[in-house]
Amino acid sequence: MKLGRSGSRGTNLRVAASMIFGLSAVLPLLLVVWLLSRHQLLTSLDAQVILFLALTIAVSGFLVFRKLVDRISTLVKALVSPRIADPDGPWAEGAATSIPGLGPVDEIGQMGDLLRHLVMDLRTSTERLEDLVFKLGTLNEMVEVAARIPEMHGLLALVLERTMRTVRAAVGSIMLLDREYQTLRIVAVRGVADDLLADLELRVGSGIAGKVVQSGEAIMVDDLERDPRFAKVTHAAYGGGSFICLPVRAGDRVIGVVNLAKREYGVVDPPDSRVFSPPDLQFLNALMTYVAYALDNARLLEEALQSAKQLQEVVEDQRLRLTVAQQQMLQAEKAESVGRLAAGVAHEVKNPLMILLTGVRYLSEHLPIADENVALLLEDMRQAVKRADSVIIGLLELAAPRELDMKAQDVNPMVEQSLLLVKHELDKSRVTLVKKFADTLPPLMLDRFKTEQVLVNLFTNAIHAMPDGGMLTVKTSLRPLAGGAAGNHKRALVVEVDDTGTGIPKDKLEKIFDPFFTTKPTGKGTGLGLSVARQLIEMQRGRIEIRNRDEGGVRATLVFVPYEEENDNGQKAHPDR
Amino acid sequence: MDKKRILIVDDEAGITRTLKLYLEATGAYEVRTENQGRRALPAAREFRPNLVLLDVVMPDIDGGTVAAQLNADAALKDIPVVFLTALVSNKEIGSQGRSIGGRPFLAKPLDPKKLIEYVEQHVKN
Repeated sequence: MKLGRSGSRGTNLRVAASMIFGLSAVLPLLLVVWLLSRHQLLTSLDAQVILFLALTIAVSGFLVFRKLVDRISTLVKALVSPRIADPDGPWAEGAATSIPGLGPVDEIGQMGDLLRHLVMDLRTSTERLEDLVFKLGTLNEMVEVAARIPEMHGLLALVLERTMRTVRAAVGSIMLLDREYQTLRIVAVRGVADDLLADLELRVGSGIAGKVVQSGEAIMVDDLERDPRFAKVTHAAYGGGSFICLPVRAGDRVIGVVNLAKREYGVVDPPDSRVFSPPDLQFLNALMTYVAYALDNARLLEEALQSAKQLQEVVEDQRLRLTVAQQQMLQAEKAESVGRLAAGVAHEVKNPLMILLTGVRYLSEHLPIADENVALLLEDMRQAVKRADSVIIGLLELAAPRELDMKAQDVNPMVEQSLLLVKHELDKSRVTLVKKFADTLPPLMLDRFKTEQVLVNLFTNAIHAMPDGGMLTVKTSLRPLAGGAAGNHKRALVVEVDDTGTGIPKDKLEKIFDPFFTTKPTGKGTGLGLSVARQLIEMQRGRIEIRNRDEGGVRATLVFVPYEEENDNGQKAHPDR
Repeated sequence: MDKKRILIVDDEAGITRTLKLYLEATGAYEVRTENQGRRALPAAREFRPNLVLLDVVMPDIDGGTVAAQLNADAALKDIPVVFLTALVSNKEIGSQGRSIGGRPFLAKPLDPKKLIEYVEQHVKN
């Protein structure tokens, strides 16, 4: 059905509304009138009155409805009409039309338009405000945190976490610049396993971070994986998608960089596929200005603490050296006074001993009495003089400053030679000798005579410890030097002298190197042998140890560091102490 | 056979006395002793020894000076001098073969038997 525009200012809507109303209200009324007249009912007064009233109500209703539709249609037209009305259009005059009670129609339209834009702006602003409030909160938090957390590691982790949250990054790292070596080192990582980036070190100028440090300018990339500039230099662990690398500055110095990526590497359909925006970068720059000083301070503090620690170590080391030096000085003073004393005693005692020895010898050769006891007595006297002399000799050896005749020596022949010197004693005591010599040993810088003297002393001690026979095992070997620093592969040449005697009582073990201390029966030893031995070995930068063996008997150990081992490491090494 | 003349100079009278006794008892030596270093040179000039046994540490003149005096005298400079000293041990002498001013020395206390062996080797005929 075509709804034409009737005469005056009717609209299609109005005509349609009138027709609908007519059809739905007037037609049923006419139908009622027709039915009443057919059944002769229209003649009653009541029916005529009712009919009249119904007609009146219908007409009034039609008029009110028409008015309402009229207004609604005007309003609708105003709202949906183009802003600039077509001069030939149906609303050419309507532009100036007012809706009673609401004002001009075009004004109402503009207001609606404005309202819609306002609502949209409000929504955007609210979102921005929320973001800003969050960022500002982060900024404030950082300022507060920076002042509160002096510990570098904690600060870095927190800064990275907050930074990533504010710009919704999935992967992030902080690298700090080592100014001395001009390298960047990862100090905090998030969103990726720590060990993936732990060893990453970049030189200034290489990689994205290295370039950022060099230029001092931030780099922002929309898609790291597709950007031809970085496809080859980026580290897989940094993730992909949008990427920011920005310098962290303290004043005019770049102290490091922050790397941020929108999504984890290899993730095809990221949950948050947005790219970093210029405001993100702006915010990050602002944030880093605050953070940089805190980081720098924390680093300075850490460096200061480190320096303090190193200083303390140096002080401790020096203190230890001082103590050792003092002990050595004390030892030297003691040795010197012992030396002077020994020299004095030697001179004073040796002359009488000479007189005694000559006298005894004269008597034993010229005494006209053939008495066996006298002969025995004279021999005892001669032995006593010799013993007294050996004590004096030991004392002089202990006290006298020695000059070492250091030469490269093969150890095995030296041990063999020393064993030859005690062969007679070995046989006499029925001691079995077992030799376990290593085939190839590096040469040692040693004073041959003095080392043999020590070896003879150790062998003699071992033999004396086995008066009823036993086994003397002499072993030479090359072993890793115990107690060295990690990565120290120095080896030590070890000579071990084992006996199967009764061992040394625990309470006496710590005194065995003391001068004049002996476990041997009177007349068997002067108590100076091991003191002299230790002095001789330590003078040759070796070490001597005596301990009881678990299987019984005593083990004497000599430890030397071959000079070629020392040279390998470029510095002198002392056997572990 | 003429006896060899030995001059012994030592400030310790016990030493000079017992050594003289022991050496002369062998019948091979005639011994003169002096207990002061400064007495050594006149005694040597007078005694003309075939060997001098000389102590090193003496209160007036030490053995080294006495040896130098003997060396300075043309008539005496060829006489062998053997030092006797209480300052070193036989072990050191044996190992290092030391000498004082080019002259051999023996350490006290020394078994006189060994002294005789040594004297026999070094005595000037």
